[in-house]
Amino acid sequence: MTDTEIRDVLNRAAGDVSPAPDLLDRVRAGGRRRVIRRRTAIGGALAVVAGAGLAPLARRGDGPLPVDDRVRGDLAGDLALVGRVRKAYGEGTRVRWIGRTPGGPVAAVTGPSGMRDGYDLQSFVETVDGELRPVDGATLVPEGTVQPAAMLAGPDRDVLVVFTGGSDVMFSGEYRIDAGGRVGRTFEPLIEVDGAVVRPIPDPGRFVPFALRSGGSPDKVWLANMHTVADDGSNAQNLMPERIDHALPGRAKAWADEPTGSEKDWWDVGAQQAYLDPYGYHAWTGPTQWRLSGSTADGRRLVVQTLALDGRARAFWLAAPPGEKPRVNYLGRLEDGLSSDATDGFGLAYPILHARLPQELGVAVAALNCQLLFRVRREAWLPVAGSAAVIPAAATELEVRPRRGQAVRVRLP
Amino acid sequence: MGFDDFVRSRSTGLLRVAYLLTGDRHAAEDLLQEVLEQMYVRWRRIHGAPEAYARRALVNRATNRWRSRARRPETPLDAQHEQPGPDHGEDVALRSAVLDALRELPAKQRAAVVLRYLDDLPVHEVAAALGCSEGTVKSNASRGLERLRQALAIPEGVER
Repeated sequence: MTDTEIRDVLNRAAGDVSPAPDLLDRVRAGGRRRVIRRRTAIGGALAVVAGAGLAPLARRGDGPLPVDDRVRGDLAGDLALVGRVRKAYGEGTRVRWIGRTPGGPVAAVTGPSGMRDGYDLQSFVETVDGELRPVDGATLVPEGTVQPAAMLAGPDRDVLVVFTGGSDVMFSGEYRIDAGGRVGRTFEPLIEVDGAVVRPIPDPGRFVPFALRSGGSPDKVWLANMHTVADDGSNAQNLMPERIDHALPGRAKAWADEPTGSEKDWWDVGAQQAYLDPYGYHAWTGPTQWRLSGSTADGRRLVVQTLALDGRARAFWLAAPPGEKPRVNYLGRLEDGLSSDATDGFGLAYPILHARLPQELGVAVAALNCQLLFRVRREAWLPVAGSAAVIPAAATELEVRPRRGQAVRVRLP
Repeated sequence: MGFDDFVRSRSTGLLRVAYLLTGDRHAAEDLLQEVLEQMYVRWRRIHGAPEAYARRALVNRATNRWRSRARRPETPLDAQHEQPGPDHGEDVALRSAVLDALRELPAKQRAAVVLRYLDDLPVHEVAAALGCSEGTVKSNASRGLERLRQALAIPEGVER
């Protein structure tokens, strides 16, 4: 076959595939979800409709609370304004709350979903440049019910509006990482006034530090327009944290009986709530999330894992014999000497993980799509299979060779 | 070019590449959507060369998919691999033969062949997509092409 024939054959094989007509809609909706993915999304309670075209699920159970038709809020008596809100959100809109905020009038509304029988869309209408505008995004609720929801109002998005929907809602202003790498928060009750809380907050910048927790079910509080903070374009400077599960050489014996169910979660820090922030709102950014699983020299299972949160990452290690619950040990933040940044020949920045483990267990090293080599003092360089490994504790230097660009050497303290 | 225009004008070509990289139409659609979502998030950072970025992301993700399939024998590729129906004609038989042949290639060779001969890219652009040197592209494309030629030498039911 000639090259021309090969081209012809490949073209005929690729043939008539064509993208779905709604590809662009799905991409835009999916992209939005990627940027602003709440950490608690797995098994989460709320389903968000970002624009039209999604068919999300809303969890029932105790579910959102039934609601009467009374309009609440300090602007409820302004019938003309209420009418304009209804008009702004569309036919069939019910205004559940409307009130003054430092960013102008805001209303919590529900309306027909138009996509799923028995469900309404719940969202907000805000004031932008003196005009009423629906916020971008809505959540699906059973018809005739509402659930706690929040939005960031005002041109600087520094006004938090929480529509409680009749539930008790708790507020936490910021989170901290404790000495064990866990996420800590302190919640205080919000005192609602006629269905809502309006509260100035510090300029959130690119990240939202606060969290909201409802006393009802679901206990998550949907934040309607977080993307106006987290998706202002600056997030594009960060890479989405891809999670890579990497099996280390010699793993097979210690992991012969792969853990299942809750035992599986013992070995996955990313599945343990204490290390996440279930009620917070986070940008889905940060360095590659690695989970290296292997075994120690004495036959114990070993996991080294990194977790990203708001563009940063923490490193952990776990070791225990098969069948035993491991303790989660915190190595620290990657920026505190556990990682180095480099740039490849394509001009893309990439992080190099190099976390020394205690007990002479070795040094966890990883750099996506790079060849790794290490050496002990001035001895010969030894190659590593794959983009990640736990190299011997005696290693003193790591060399990272990207597919294109200059190799980088990192001293291993 | 804005993101919407890029998707509208280039998604068919990218989907064809994804299809030959994955060997499965649904996997290709998923792959393309994932890559476009990734690009949507980073659009302002992708200066001037969105198509090159898309190709590289497609290749990387397609390679990872094949790797993860290899780690999970419970979802063998054959089960997802499109097979021709009895009455779909010669193009379907040809497609099956080509996908089978591509499937037998190492990921880098497969990507080099698809980008070089389906997308008709110059060597340096294939190198950028694969994140390797031009020499590596040439050798991968050459070896891949040779194996493809061998595999397609006697494709049953295929008329060229």
